[in-house]
Amino acid sequence: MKEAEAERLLRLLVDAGLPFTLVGGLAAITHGATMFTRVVDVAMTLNEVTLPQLVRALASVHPRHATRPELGVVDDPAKLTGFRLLLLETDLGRLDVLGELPPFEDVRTLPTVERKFGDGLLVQVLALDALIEVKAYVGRPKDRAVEAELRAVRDAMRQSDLNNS
Amino acid sequence: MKPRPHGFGLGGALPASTAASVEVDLALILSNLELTVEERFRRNAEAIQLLERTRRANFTQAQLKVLEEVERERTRANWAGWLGPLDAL
Repeated sequence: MKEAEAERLLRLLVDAGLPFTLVGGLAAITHGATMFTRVVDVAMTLNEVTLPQLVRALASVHPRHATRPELGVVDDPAKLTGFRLLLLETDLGRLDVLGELPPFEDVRTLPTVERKFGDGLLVQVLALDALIEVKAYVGRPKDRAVEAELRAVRDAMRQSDLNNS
Repeated sequence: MKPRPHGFGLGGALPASTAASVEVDLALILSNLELTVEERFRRNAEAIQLLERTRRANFTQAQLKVLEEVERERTRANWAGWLGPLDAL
């Protein structure tokens, strides 16, 4: 992942009008976590409307199934029906598209905050409390570490609010 | 609450209180909060580039190919329940 490639990938999705939320490691970094990640994780509903939009949006960066690269470029949305998760390798790096985000019931109604990136790019990011909830639910050791950092971020922000009030 | 998916199989490996007991570098977090989102993204990209350079420096091309294949297999196994249709393609 080169500099700004994550933003370029996100811009493709924004420009296509896809209803996505930035989740995972980059959302954690957005909120202030000190971790590193090479993956852009987004959550959005995967259906007959969004899948063709997604394939069109990514056409210029040649998406391939990250775990089955021998299948070639993903260019037929019909072949993506039934996936709950798309792990895509693109010319701009890895993009994971989650159709579900436990413990939340519906990715269309996730709590989000709007964040501004380079060149005025506006992205909906999973809200801090919700991201903590997801990390606690997933519960792998690396998620526990990020969860702990996010809790520290939240405490620091609350303290800052108290000091400023 | 939905059942825990297959890809999150390690969920029970740690007690719920683990996150609270994980030590965090508060000074690093506070300094990170001083940065803009753009700067945090740039730092992430730089760190990943450094990791990639280190990886390329420590392994031969053949070893890297094997590693990539192992990583792909591990990812598919971790997310098997979520990637079902992939096997039919």
